[in-house]
Amino acid sequence: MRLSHESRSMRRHEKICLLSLLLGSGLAVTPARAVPSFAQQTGQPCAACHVGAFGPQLKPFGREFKLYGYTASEGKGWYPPIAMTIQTSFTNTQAAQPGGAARWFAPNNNVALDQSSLYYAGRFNSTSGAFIEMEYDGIARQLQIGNVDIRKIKEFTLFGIDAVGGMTVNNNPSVQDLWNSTPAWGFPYNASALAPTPAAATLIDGGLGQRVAGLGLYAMWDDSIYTEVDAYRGLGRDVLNATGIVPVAGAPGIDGFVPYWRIAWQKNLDRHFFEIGTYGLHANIFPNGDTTAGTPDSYTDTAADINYQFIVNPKSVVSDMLSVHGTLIHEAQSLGSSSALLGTNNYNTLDTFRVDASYSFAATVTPTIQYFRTSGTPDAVQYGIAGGRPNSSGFVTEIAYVPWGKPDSPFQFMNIRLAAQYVSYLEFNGTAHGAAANNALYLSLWTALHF
Amino acid sequence: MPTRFNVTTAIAILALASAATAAWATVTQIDQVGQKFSKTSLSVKTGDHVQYINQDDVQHNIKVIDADDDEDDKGLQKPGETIDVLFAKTGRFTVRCAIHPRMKMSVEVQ
Repeated sequence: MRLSHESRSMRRHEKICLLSLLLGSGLAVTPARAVPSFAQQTGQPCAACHVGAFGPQLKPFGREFKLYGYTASEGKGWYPPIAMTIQTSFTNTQAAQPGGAARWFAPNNNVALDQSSLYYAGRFNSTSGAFIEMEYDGIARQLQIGNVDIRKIKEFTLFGIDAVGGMTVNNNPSVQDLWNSTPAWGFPYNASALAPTPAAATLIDGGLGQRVAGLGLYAMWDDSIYTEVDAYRGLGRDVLNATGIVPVAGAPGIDGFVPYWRIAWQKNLDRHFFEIGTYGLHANIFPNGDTTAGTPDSYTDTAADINYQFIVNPKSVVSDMLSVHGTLIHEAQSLGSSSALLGTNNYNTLDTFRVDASYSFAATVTPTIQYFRTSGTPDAVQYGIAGGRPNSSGFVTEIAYVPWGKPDSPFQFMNIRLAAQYVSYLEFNGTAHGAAANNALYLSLWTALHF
Repeated sequence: MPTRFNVTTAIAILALASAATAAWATVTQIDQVGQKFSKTSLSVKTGDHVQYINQDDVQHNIKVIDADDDEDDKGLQKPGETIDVLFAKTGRFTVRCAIHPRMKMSVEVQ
């Protein structure tokens, strides 16, 4: 199941108390992902960049805008690009959750202010820009830093072919990615933090979000070949406290640098867009920051991804559009330290596969379906579940309605997205028996404003 | 009297020459479709015009950039609008949209 990457990863690590650095606020919602200040800066409607006229799913121009460091502008001068989003929701789970879905919430049928976010999202000048999010997590009732991606770009030629390169400073591996197949900006674009989520997730699947800071260099050559390398460091406990990402106990456990890589090939035809690529990271982590075992655990995540988009009428930003994303992540866990200190296996593997397809009708109504599956080596201590099998699978189906964000919309300063999402499990934490009890209906209203 | 005749004649000759030049100047049309130019390169002669026709349903903003990186900003171009660019001097120019970074073409003026 791939609900909120962060909440899922958080829960896994909370249960087992292995990685104190990854322990967070308990339940976190997916960061908000719609920034109308970009629309204000470019003079383009939301639908020019975003599939379905709202949210993080990007069209070719949206990827281009991000690649060029959020700098594109209609030239009306600089102004502080400040925007705001608010998410509210209703969550129903098939079975009630005894003790409450979360602190302050009932066992079932919860209405919530999921999240309210304030953004600096736009250009500094013609070669640099940023996406910086500060959010109020209405589930954990906590103010905290969200996703950050600050860029500086330069155009150049290589072998006589145009290229654009840049530098990114960010706090979540894959938040800087252009495609919606990688974890940070993948489907579902918002999800309930009040529904059960599987215990197991790979580290790259949100486990480091807001807990690291990194510097990366990237380049796109000939609008086809993309390469990127980043190096992250774990943030200190004081920094995590200051930014609202509160560790529960122990010292941060990330040892040294965390390298992240990304290679992709894309082909952008008039109506068809293809991408295939690979990404991954390697992290050394002391469980609970405990260095007594000598060597840290190591996690190596290696992933492949694909994207395909078909634009029915390229002349129109409100054209119907088919989008398909897929990714396969393989994680190798060498748990020497955890094995000695806590009794986990010495070595585990964990694999996650996801594929989703959406069809956007006139950038207004967008149904999406996703299949997800995570499976791996049984390890009751590592995953904190009876039997230890980390296997979960199922479907997410969603239909979203966005009335505005198009060229003729009456409100250019705001947009809304109404969505109904249903998560159904075939298997949950290693068992098919009773898996459906975790199924969840999530109704959400997502509002975006710029100032 | 002879002087008056000469001035009148000179003006007439200049007017004719000017009209002839205008008549010989060619106009090339470039479509802006799907946030791309219909051509990525073009060769024209001094005095030729290029008309950029926005067939998208979003606005563009054409800039003509010379070899010294000096920009001539043609301003916002709404859907359906045509921007006429006169290439009055020789050289190599880059034409691009300020809003859509990959939307660019080169124009060689001879």
